[in-house]
Amino acid sequence: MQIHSVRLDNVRRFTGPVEITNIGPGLNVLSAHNEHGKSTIFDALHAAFFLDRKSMRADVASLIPHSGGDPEVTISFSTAAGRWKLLKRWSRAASRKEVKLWKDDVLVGQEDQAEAMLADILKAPKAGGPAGLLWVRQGLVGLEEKGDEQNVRRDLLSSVTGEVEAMTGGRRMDAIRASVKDSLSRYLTSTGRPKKDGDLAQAQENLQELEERHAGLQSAVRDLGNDLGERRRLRRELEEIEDPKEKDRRAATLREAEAALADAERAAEILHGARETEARAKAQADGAKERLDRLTKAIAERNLAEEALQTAQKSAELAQDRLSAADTFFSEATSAQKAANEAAESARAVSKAATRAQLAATSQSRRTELQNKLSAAEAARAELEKAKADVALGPNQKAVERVRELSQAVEVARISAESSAPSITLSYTGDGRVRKGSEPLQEATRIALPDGAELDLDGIGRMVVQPGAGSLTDAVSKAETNLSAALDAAGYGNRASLDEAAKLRVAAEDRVRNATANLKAAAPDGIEALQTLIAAIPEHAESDVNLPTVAEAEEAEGAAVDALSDANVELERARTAKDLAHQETTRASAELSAAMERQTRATQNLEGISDPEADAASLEVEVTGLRAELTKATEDRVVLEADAPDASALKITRDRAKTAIENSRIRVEDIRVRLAELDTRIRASASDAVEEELADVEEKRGQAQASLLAVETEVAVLSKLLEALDAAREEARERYVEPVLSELRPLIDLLWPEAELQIDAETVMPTKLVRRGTEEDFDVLSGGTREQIALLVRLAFAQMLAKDGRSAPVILDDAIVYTDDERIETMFDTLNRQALDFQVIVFSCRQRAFRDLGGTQLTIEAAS
Amino acid sequence: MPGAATPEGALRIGLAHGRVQSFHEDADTRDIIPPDRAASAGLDYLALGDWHGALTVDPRTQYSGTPERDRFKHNGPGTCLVVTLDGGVPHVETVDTGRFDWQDVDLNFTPDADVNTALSGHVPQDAAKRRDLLLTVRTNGTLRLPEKGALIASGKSVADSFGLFRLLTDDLSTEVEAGDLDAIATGGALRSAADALRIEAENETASEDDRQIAARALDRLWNLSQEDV
Repeated sequence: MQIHSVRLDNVRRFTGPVEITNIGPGLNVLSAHNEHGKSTIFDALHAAFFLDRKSMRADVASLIPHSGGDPEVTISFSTAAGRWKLLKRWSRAASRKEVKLWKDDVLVGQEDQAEAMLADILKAPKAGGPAGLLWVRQGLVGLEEKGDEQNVRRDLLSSVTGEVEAMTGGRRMDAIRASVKDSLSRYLTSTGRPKKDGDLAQAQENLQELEERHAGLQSAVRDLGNDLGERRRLRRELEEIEDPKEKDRRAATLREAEAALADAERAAEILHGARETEARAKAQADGAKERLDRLTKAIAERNLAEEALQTAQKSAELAQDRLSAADTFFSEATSAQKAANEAAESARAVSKAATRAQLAATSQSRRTELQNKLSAAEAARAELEKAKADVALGPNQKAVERVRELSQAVEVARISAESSAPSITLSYTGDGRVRKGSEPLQEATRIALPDGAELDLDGIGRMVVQPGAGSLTDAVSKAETNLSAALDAAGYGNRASLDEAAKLRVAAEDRVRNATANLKAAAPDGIEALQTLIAAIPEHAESDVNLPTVAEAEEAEGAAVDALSDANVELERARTAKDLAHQETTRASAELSAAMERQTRATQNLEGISDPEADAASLEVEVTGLRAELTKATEDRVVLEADAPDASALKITRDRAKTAIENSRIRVEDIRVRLAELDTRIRASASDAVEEELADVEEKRGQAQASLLAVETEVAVLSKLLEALDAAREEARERYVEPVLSELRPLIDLLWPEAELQIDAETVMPTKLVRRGTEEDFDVLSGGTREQIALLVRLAFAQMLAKDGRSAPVILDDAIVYTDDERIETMFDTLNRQALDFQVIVFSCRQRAFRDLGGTQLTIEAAS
Repeated sequence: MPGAATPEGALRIGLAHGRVQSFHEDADTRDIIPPDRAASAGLDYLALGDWHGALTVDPRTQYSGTPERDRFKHNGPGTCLVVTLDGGVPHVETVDTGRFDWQDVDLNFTPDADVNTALSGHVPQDAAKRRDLLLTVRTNGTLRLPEKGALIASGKSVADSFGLFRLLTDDLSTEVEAGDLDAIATGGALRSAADALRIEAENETASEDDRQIAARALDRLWNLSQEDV
């Protein structure tokens, strides 16, 4: 926002219209003496923007001139949305209250609509934060206030017309939170527990007490209800039991039951006699029948025993025959097995003898072979010893090598002597010749003269050829001397004899190798081992030339063993047959004895009866008669049983009828006792009025529940409100306070480069100024320092808004009256620098001091 | 009783304490006073006690109520009955005997209602009469924040002059408009707190209890913000 002009009419001292028209975008200064109307303009601006036209609160009333009239303020300003003109008039007469709002010279709203639009322009953004104007009122730097410390310091910031308060909640937030906390403290402790003797604790305790009483009374009422119910039931039961008709019915029932029982007992006696008659008839018939059965059975047994005896006798004879045959078979098998056994033994002996003969022949062949090897080995050992002796006679290899080397040295010396000796090569052109001795020397041939020579030249004379000093012949001589010495040392006079001896030695060494190989072939482990091996081969006597071969003997032995095996099987089969025959004979014998005993017993059973069959026929007739008598007795008994009443059931009926009467009597006594008890208890409960008390307690409990719910709801409401307030303040602090602080620090540096201002991050209030390590409480700082800090806080706030794209004018009304001349220059620089980012309007009565502030100089002019 | 003779000219008056109806199915009906007992027993009048409020069972059978009430169950002060028997239908006159007047009233509101007028209808103009008046005002319906605040403030202003004054607003909903919250704050932390509470109060996904608590917290914030701080 930027303010362009302001017009006042009927505002305090300005009873006529005045205006300021040239308010620029940056720094603006209205410097005038006291009572010039600066604060009036300041207050008018504030009222026009923030006080409803309908309001007549003190700060509006203060705008009315002493002479009366309706204060009217017209402000031209612009925002990002466009250029606006606001006219607002307050009056005690409702008809003269007025507000109008133009946008870009078009009237866009009046009265409430205009107020709403203005509020919308000035309203803080939905996301929170201050509105679009910042105010610094005259002298509100904390110097004049006499309130408590926090309020004094907060007033430093209150000159921002509540914007900081709106940001953090400020004093209203503090007051509301304090009120909420105070209300909560009546219910809860600081740790959130119900406060002792507090409304919440009392409501809880009251309800608990009533709940306990209610439970107790409910139990008592339940008991009473149960008692009443039981008494009702018992009374009904007593009435039913003592009903005369019911009593008569029970007595009649008993009489009828007893008569029926007597009839039944008589019928039972008659039936008892019939049953005894039947039992006797049955005993006689059964006895006769038993005798008949015994006799018939004895006759049959006698007949069967005789048949069995005959059968057993035949079986015994047959078994005896089978036993004789088995004995014969066993005797024959025994003889055959014995013969086969002897044949097998003989075949085994022949086989063993054949095997021994074969082993003897093998041993003899081996002995011969080994003795031939022994002879060859002994011959090889003799040759080896002789060859080794020949090797020992020859020169050793080292001496031979030495002589060979020295012989080569002699040859080399000789060749060298010849090649380096004086020589001549002749070419004859005439007949004359050169002679050594008498023999002419050949031409065209190099003739060496290592020892010099005396040459005769035909027709010329003699020429002596000198060998010269250091002749090579010395080297040859020396080499030859060394060779001779080596030959002597080896024991040989010349090289030829040495070479011959060496040749013989080589031949002897070949013989040693051959003999060694032969000895190894014949006796790998040595002659002694071979001799031991021969000695270990046993000597065998001459073998029987008539023996069969081992194979033949083994085949014969196998056949004999097979025959023996067959004989053993046959013998076993004979033994088994014999055992079976013995067993059968024994069993037949036993059966025969048993049959004889049975026949004896059967005969004894009929002893004394002359004609058993005739006796049996007579007895059968007697049984038939007795059975007819039994049938008659049974029929009589069945008829009586069918007609007999059930005495047991009748007795039970009789007993039940008696018991019912007796039980009724006992029950009546019990009921009367119980009713007496119940009456006593019910009377006691009634006198206690438990039902009335329960109803009363239930009502009180309902009230206590409602009270507790109300208190709990109140606690929840207060807690919720406190939680919302704390969260909002914390959010505001994070969103706005920190940015303001970051804007403030560089401004502080401008005035006190080495100082640090400590600010309460929660209240945005300066607390200490630290300079050169010394902390100074804000409240003990000089007035100038305090007003400078207060102003810088506001400028930091404006800077933050400007950076946020919501540039707000900062209006200062004698804001730095206590600042000294030196530091006011720095403040001027700061204001000029900040005015580059937002509009600053300065009202000051210090005309001389503010002359150097710069910016656009404002004047209050009379308006038309 | 029906068989008992009465001398010529004498009045038959019954006096009993108990109920004339049962509230339990299994109750013993012999414990109940038959409603036609006066007629069946030939009584000129049957005076009953048990109910704390007056109740006419029939012209000859009445509960007189209690001379001094001690709860809100029956509106008004305690009473007694002056019964005149002359052989005909009894003449019954109710006489107030109680000192304390128990009143439990309902007030239903709609937005823009005149809350002061509605409340003042139950507040005696004479403050001296309020000392013995025990008044419970149960409010329901809906009011806007300022109206609700005005109602609560109005109640608070007179509460101390009553023997007992209870303004119950649990069932009174609050209608919140944007302008209402401006009265708390147009911006800043207080407005943020108010907005947060309003959102929570109108959050249909939250439980009814939570919404109620938030709404009442907003009411409280509104009221506190209107106090002179």
